[in-house]
Amino acid sequence: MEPWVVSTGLIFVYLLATIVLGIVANRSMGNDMEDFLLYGRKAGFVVLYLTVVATFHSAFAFLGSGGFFYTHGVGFWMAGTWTVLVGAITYVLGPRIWAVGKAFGYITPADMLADFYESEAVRVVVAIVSVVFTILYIQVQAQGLGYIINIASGDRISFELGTLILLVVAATYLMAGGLRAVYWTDVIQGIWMYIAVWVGAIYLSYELFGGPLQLWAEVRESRPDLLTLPGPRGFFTPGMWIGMTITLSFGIVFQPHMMIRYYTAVDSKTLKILGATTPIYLMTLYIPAALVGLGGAVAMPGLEIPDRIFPELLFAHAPPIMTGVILAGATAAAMSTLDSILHANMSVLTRDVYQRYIAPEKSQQHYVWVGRGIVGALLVVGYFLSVRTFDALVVLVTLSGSGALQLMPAILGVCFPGRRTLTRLGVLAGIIAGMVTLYVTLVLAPHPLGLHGGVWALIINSVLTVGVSYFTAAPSEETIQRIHGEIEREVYGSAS
Amino acid sequence: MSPQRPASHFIPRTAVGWTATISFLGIFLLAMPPITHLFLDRPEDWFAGVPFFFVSLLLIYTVLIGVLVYTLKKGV
Repeated sequence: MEPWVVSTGLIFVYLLATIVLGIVANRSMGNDMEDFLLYGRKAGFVVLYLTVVATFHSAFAFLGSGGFFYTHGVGFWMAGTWTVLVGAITYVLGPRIWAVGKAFGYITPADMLADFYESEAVRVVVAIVSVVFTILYIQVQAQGLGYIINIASGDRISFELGTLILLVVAATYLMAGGLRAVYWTDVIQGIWMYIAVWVGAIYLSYELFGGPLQLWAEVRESRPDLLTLPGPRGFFTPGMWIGMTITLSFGIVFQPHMMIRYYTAVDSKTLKILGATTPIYLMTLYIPAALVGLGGAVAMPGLEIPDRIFPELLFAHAPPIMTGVILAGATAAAMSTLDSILHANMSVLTRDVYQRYIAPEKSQQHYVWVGRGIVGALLVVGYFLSVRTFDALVVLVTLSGSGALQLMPAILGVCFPGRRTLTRLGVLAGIIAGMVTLYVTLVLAPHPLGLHGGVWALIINSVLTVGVSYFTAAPSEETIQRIHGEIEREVYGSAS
Repeated sequence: MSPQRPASHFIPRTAVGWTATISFLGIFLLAMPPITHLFLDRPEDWFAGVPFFFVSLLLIYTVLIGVLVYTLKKGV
């Protein structure tokens, strides 16, 4: 059997399995918003663990990280810093967000922030940031999926058709089973992608070099420039190192598809265990990526698109069935992020826009069906964005990684009671100033003084948030007592 | 500021909380510049066939995960 038949066939078997899971999830779900959008707040450790890691690691971790090692060398092993930091953030913030979410019925990040800051303007701004800066990831993941299926089929399935098939599959199981379907498919996807990347990397290192240690020796011999900082192209400067650590930890955790996961845990202890253990998965996935990227730079130099190093090595050196299994793993990596972003956008648009401003008094079942309709609309938008390239979109994608980071001061203001309280005007001024600074420091004059543009924006944002809050009215004492009291009870056992 | 408001959550309240916070932040700084660029970036040194840079960062990440697990076990 030809390699492309095996590869494509395995991907389609995998896609079929996700649809079956979506149908099964549909049969076990209730007809209310909490069940459809939040898994009924009943996610246990195993399901939550695998959905968090699978969602965090997208097509970039599977394909792009190999390309990064290939191009910029061992400096990309800094990825461990943000994966460990994500664990610590989850450990500290997760139980706090869970507690107020459960106590006050929050479904989206905007619910929490608007309630604490007593401001519909905060709700609108947070909802806009949530949607604008993540909807573009639909494009990024869908394009990744299109390329994977195009590569797997040896150009027999076009990029456009591949993108459409995979978007339709993800939207179908999301519409059928809501977040429950996303979580269940993420369980498969999380396991599959981890095994796939490790098996592929170890196999290739033995096939090409005689083992991982020989691979390192070969890199040392022929490409020593890949083993030093800041790398062959000078990418990993101290400023970039610090900036990537902050933007790819806090910036990703504060994106709605990650934050919503905190609301869904069955209890706060689950989130603490999650925080302590997720870095094991997240960090160790970059070890095989290093073997693929660095080994690939020696075995297959001069690739025009470095992100393709993993599939290119597999097609050249691995048996067809292994290539198929691993490319299905790459599909899993992209789909597990895509479905979560579709879900998060659907939740924000249904809850923060439709229910709040268009039709506030409808039945729970009505909102579930509206959510399904919104997924359909997002499918059309996602496909349109994926198969066309717009200059403006390229700019927005550049901004998107650091966009959610600008919610950080506002979220810390809710989750960390302190001597002074941030105010709605302070938070609004900070977020807006952060967005403007992002445009300047990422697009107009990228990374001033070698420090990541997202960090510049966060600094300006934080200073303005605190400064304006000093001179403006805080939320009412009742609201502060209610929300900070709940956090005090969660963290220390009693409200002081 | 109202006297009834909770005390600041930015400052740990227990010895274990202080230990965990200082340990995590202190060890985390070992994986940050300037330590990484001045002391860990030693391409001439290798450990068990793997670059010192890679092994030392792996060790730091592992210890950081250990701090999180320690904190979990202590129930903080």
